[in-house]
Amino acid sequence: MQSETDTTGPMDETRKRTLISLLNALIPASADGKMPGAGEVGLGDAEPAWLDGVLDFFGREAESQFGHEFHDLPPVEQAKLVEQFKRREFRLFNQLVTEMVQCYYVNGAVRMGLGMEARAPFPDGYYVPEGDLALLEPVFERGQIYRE
Amino acid sequence: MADTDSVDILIIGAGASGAAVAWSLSESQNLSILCLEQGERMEAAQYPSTRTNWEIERLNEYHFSPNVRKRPADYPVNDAGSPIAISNFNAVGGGTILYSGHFPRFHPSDFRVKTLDGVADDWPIDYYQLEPHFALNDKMMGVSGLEGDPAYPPIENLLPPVPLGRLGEVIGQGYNALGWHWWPAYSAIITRNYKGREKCVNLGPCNTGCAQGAKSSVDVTYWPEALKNGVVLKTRCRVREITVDAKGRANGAIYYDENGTERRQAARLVIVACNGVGTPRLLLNSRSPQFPEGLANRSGLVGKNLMLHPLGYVEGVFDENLESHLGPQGCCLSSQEFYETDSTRGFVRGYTMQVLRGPWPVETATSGVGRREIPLGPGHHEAFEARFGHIAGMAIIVEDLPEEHNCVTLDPELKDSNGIPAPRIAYTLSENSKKMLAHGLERGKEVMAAAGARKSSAFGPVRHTGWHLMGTARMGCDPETSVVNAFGQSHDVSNLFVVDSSVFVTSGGVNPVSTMQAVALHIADNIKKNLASLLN
Repeated sequence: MQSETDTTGPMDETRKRTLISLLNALIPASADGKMPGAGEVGLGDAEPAWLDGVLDFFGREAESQFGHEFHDLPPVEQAKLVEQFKRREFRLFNQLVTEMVQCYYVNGAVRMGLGMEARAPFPDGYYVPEGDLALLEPVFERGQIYRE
Repeated sequence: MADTDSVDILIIGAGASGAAVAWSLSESQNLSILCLEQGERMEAAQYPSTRTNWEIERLNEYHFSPNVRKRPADYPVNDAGSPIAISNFNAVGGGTILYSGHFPRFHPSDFRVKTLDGVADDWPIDYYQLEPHFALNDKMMGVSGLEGDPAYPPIENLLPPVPLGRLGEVIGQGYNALGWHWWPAYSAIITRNYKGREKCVNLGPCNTGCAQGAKSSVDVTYWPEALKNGVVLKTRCRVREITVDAKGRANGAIYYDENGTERRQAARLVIVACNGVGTPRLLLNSRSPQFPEGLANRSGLVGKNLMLHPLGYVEGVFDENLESHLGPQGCCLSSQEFYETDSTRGFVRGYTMQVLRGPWPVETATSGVGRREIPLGPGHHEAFEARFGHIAGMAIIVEDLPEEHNCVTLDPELKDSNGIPAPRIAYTLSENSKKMLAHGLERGKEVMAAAGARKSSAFGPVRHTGWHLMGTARMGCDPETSVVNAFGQSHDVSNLFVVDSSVFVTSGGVNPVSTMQAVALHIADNIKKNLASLLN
């Protein structure tokens, strides 16, 4: 039995286009160009076996319901298929979204689009203001609140 | 089975309390001290904060739960019978490798719960007996905070507090609007260069190990000193059982070394420091004709009275960009407003409100999408940007009262990789805890509203929060109702000591590590004073 971490063979061009379009439908590029679509970021190099089930659905349903490949459909029809997939294959949908979000939000271009630096926290760390400790004055003035 | 040379003192477990005891005993005595630790030495350069995908690594190899991590040093825990999953970490440093460093002490009243509030039991020691040990422990570890907190007797010699950030200011103003207590967090995080370690630079994910070495985990605090003093530390050595002689005195342990070879280590005195789940597991697995129900268990209380800290989570979302994700994740400020008992609330004892830094991008998106706060498709980016950096978190840490039915036993089927029975957890929240948790969640939302949050949410108990493991080898004067005496010494086995939070009589409503280490130093002092009789 295949495990979730098993990988399949290389994806053909049609399935690649389907995947890119699907991811872009879920997290589209921002209108101001700062944030890429999730299709541009992808899911990393590995092609886990569970992705077959996702692409099979969209390949099959796009053709049977609309007579076109998924990536050729207008946004409204793509969104309809996404909703159908979510309802029918909730576990697979969640797996896809989780994987997509993780890949997307560690991506360097995405981090820079958010105004962050595309680097690990160590060694530079980050600046955090000390804060105004004078705000504690009323707490201090109130006096002892512990019991002996 | 291979034998190794006998030592004076065998310490089992190289975590927070094992390290403190190892150092203390090595300071002034010419003793042969050996510590056996089933985990390994961690390498700071490998911690997730050295990589851009640290948020994802925290979900796998650095997850709180051993059942998710499954590192070689982990053993499985059957916690299906508990709404709170057990968290631990086996390594040199133990749980301090993954803790967030939030380091408040118990309060004086925590030691007198029976006298003051008519529930549970009093400890056989009190805050003021432990005060010099708290102070010494703070010095050894490096603790930051702010003097003058009206929620405590005076605490001195603290390093400056970790930065509040705009998050802390906004929440502090919320507390001020309500007239409630709040104070900068006591943090086992150095904010100035200290004893050869470099100060905190706000990496953020303290709870995946500190690559900077600024978080005061015991591998970078006590252990270097203990090793310099001659303590021998053997890693990847998993103890299966403690053995006793014909007179019922502990005489060593049987363990599996790094090659899986079974070995016997002889010792004149044995100290157990395996946490509130690991310690009873080891004792219960150490059966002999003298102790058919487990070592040191004539009271029948080993494993019983397990106390966790049921934890609730409150979240506020603010219009202002607080850059809330920046700073030490678990340390900002906390409130003890509802810590002391007020019977008008409908429950006894109390809780801490611990403000947490906000989530980073992956967690913001994952939880936001999961809760439908961030849509997929159009509107995703706008909704994300309205949350990332805008979220304040708050943990409600609820005091747990001891109840015998909450316990650790040996699982009849589940075993670790060496064939040692896994611990099995039976635990339910009491009505008192449920009421306290509900109260805390509502007060937390009040704070968020007073601070200006545009929306807030709250839920609990949160499952993966079983970090604080207490009570399963409780301390007391009466051998019928306790496992160890006021000095951590087994009532049944005079040369056997327990030094971790298994000995806790009550749980308080704060993180236990500071108090646990103070108790460990107190126990070590007593051992040193009575060495001649204990070793002979």
